[in-house]
Amino acid sequence: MLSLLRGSLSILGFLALWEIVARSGLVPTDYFPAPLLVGETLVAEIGRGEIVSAFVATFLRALIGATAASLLAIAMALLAARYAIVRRAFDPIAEFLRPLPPAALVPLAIFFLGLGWKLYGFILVFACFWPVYLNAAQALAATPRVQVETARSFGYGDWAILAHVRLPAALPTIFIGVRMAASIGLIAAIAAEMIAGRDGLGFYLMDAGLSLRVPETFAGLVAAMVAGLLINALVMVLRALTIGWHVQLTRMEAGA
Amino acid sequence: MGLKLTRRLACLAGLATMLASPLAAQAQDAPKVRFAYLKTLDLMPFFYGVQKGYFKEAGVDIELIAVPGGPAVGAAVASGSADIGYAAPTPIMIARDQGQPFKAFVSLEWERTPDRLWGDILATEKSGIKSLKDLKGKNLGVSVPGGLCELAAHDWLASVGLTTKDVNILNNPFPQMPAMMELGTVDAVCIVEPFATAALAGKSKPVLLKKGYLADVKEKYRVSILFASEKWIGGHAKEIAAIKKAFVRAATELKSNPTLVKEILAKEYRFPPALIDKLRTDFALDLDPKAEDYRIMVEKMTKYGMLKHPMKPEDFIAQAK
Repeated sequence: MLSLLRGSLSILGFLALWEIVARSGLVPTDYFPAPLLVGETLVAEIGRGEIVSAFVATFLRALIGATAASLLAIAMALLAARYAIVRRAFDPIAEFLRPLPPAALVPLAIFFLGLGWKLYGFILVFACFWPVYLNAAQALAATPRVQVETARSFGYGDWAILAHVRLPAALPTIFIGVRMAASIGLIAAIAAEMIAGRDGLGFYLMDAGLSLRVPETFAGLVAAMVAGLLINALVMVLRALTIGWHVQLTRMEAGA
Repeated sequence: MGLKLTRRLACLAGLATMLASPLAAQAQDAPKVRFAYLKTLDLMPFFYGVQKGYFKEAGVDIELIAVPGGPAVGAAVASGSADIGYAAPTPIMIARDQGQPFKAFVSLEWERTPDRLWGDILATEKSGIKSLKDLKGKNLGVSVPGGLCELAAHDWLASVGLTTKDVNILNNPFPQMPAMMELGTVDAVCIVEPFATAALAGKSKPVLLKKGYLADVKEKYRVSILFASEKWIGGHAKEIAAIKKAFVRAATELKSNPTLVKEILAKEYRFPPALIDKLRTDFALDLDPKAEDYRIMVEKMTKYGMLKHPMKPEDFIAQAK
């Protein structure tokens, strides 16, 4: 309850600061609308429906992209953990490709993937894959030796140890990567839509900008923030369902 | 008497159905053309014509593919996601120069000094710039590289003995330019409608330095086109003819009805009401590409190094069959 109050107060403080800056004349008022006007515009835009369909398109893209990338990255990390040759072969490629910014790939990717789901799929999976893979690979490699050897003494094979010991132990760290991937997925989806989209929040923002509808662009940004909060909340729910034991343990340790 | 009238009406209805059905069938069977576009003012006849069904009636089914920026149009056509695209001639000439088999098959908006000029060179009041010569050492915003405004920067600066090396060229999107002028991030810009009108109405109190993309060119030159790959153009003469026919029909209606134009600006473009009354609009009606409409642009782009290889204007256009 107290944390909810604190959260509400900090958001109110942020909105008050926004209002002060908007009224101060520090920035051109025509291009920096006050929060109240943005709120009114957002309500009107929701009524028109355009921002709602843009929100849904972007949110689903980010969600599907982050989910697909996470599954792929975890599978790849498991293979790398199981077979040293895979890890040795893949890690240099990872180091080489990881720094590439997804937005920079969009203009090139359009040429071989066109506009549409293939482009989004490629950009989102590329963007979301690395944080999950790196966290998963690191966590799988860091399983305490004693846990692995104990399982082996009980007759577990390499695959069984991977599935029943190393993966569960790595899940808390993997979720850090998944949470990062979810945020990156939203950023990548909006960036791709801004460069090559036909719909979604990125396209909505560009379209509103081209029509000089400044309050609508801010309304689009608020919608993007809401999408970010929602996708993060979904990851946290999934985390609680999957590794609730770890969350409780961490809280108990913090309490102790 | 009543029965006679009913029979006559029935006959008329039957006749109308017989006459209408080939048209309806034609509209239904019209081949689809995927059109990658930006929501610019000179494409208003396209949006209006599609909405009114003029393109289908002319024999082509236009699928509008909105894209958020100029580079995405070229990429959409090159990748096959769109059949045709809308652009300024400059980036398409550059793409052709670099090996893309693009050609203009419809000529759209045009400029000519002094009577028809769309591009504006504006400077902010606080920059102290009064003439083109004062641009030396200043920040000049020109939108995307390879665009019409890059050519405008070359040409207007050359007209007063300067080059683009004498100014700081900034590549900024058009929508942000009015705000950047107010903030003082840029001293001057090459800008298009509706952003030019927004900037002129803004607090930066801009000075209009020059009008037009090319420096005092008294012959007609095109500033927007429809383009496609040579292969597509070669196999779609009927569709191209239908596009021109429907566009001219829609443009003619719009030219004769300023109220309708304002309604579309408000409803479809959703421009702020304060801007709508100030906006200038007009639509080209002579859409057949002619080499002479592109000659001066090719010459100037070659002169300023925007084209690396010799190009004949005749090679850039697809002649109407």
